[in-house]
Amino acid sequence: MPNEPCQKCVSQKERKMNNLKNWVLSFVIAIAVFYTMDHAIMSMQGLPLKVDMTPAQ
Amino acid sequence: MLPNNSLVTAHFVSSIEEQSPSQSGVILHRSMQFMLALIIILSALMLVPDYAWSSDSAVATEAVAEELTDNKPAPVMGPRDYRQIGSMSSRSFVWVIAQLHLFLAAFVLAVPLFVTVIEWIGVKTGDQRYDDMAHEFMKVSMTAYSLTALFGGTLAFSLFLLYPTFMGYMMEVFGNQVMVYALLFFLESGVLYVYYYSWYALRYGNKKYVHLTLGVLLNGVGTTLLFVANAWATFMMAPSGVDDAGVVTGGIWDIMRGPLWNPVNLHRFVANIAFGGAIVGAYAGYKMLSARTMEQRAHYDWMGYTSNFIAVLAFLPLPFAGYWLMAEIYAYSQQMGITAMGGILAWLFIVQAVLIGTILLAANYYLWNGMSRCEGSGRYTWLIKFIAVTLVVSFLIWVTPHTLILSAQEIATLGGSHHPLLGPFGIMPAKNIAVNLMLIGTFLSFQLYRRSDKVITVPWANFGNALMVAIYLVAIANVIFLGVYYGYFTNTVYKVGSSVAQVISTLIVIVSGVVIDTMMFKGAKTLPVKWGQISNRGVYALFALPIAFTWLMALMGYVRSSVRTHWHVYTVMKDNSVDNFIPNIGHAGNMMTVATISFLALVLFIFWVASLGDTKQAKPVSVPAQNPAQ
Repeated sequence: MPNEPCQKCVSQKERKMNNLKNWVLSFVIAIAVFYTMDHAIMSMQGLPLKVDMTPAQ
Repeated sequence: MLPNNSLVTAHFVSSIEEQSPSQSGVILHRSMQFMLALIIILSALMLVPDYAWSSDSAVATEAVAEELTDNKPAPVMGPRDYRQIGSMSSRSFVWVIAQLHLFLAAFVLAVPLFVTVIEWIGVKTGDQRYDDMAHEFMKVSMTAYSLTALFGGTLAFSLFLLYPTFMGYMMEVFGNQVMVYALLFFLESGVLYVYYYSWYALRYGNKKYVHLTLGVLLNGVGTTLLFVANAWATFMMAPSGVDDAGVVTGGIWDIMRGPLWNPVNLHRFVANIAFGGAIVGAYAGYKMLSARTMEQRAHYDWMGYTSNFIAVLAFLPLPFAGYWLMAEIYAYSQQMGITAMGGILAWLFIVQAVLIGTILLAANYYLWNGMSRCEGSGRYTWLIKFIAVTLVVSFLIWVTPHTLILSAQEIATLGGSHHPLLGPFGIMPAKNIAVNLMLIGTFLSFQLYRRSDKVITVPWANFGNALMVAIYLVAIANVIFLGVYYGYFTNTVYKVGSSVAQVISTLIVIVSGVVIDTMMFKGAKTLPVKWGQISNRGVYALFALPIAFTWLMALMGYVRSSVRTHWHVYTVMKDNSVDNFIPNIGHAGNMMTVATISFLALVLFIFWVASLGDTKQAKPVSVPAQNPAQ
């Protein structure tokens, strides 16, 4: 059985994968919230931003 | 309406009487009957249609118009309209008395607000310590209440004596509204005394809810009092309900709801809570340092922590309320806004930065020291140095002035009127970044403190932590990006607009932090907290807070009042007294300091009186008299 990965290694890998997913998902959510908020707040004041966040002249 | 109300009240009162047959209870219930009757009378009076309160109605408008035929414009003031006590400056005298009255009033109106909340927490948790602490907070504020009334009376007499014509005009404008204030004051006093003295008589079961209701009523009356008095100050800053000559053209509601009334209402309401929390925190610190037993020390340590919690929690949204007030001032009069933030008063905003920086540093320092109460805090202490660096750097940026008063030689040495490296830190975008980062840092300290005694057990703990970290980092990046990009590389209108998004970024951190923590703390294991273990150095921070708060209130109160420049009532009634100018900063600073030190002396007196009630003289041991002849 030398080629089979040990149970401990699999669970460690899974844990690392889950952690990575958590971090990626968290940052995606946070960036989406703040990006949307920036656009919303500036538009409400009549100062719309373009997708790349430059002010619309 | 009235008969129904009476029936309900009668039923309510009789049901209370059935529950408490004791004689002392009867006296108390009589007082309550009296109070309820007073409330019903007041409610009935409010229901009576009054043209002054309903300016929308056509009938009311006619009535106002008829009455207005007698109204006169604001008087033009001459030397005979001002008086003096000896050679003392009337402005200086009224300045100090008004400031002391405001300090005391802020304190006594704030304490019952959080006392009622603490009392309610005691009821919900069943932990009697909350009830005892709430009662002790009230005890401290009771002495202050009498002092508030004394200074309020002195202020009223001083104003009528020294500024009789001006006060005559104010009475003409506000009319019967001042009597509503007086009535509310009677009501406040009555409810306050019943609330405090019935604490132990209405402590358990349904009676406790009667007591809590009294607390809510007390706060309702107190807050209304504050709003009524605010209307006088905001009318002087931004008059409404009068024409350009000062002739009253609207009802009392038009006069009261000027453009600055609600911003000042919100700002003072929130600031009062922070101020009140800081003052009782100092009381707890004083009692803790003088405690003789470990049990006492633990109690006052807990009390100090709760006070600091209240002060910081109320302080965090305060800059946003201040931002709204300044935005409304600019919207009302750009000239007034520029006088405040771009003219002679602008330097006082640098002093404000120093004081707010002191408050935030002291509050953080207290929280970091307080983490030593719990062994679980070791998980988070490594973060403190980063928060400390952020606070100090932000503080230094905030206090960097834009322009300096320089000699020609100094300008030549500097290479211009602005420093080449530090100059960019002197403008608002840099300061907006600094303030928001300081608030985010303070909230992080607060959140770490709350997490110190908990072991989170929810299955999604890793995701929750990752989300919280992501929110902090993205919020910080967003605040810096908005400040730098829109503040320095686009036009001014974007600079101002992006500051709102910066504020919202900080609020998202605070709100999401509270929500995520509340969800994550469900089922969490709680680690023991050793109350009383905090170092004495940490407790000293509890004294720094009220001192800085008091000075700050004196400072910003002066700025708020001074933006009227040479007007008693802005653009309507000119100030023609010998003091119709904005004094130099040094003089103003001295006046604020006199008011601050006087108030702190009064606070020491209040603490001493509050402690005096607990002091009992030991009964003298009678020694049999000896006959010298024997």
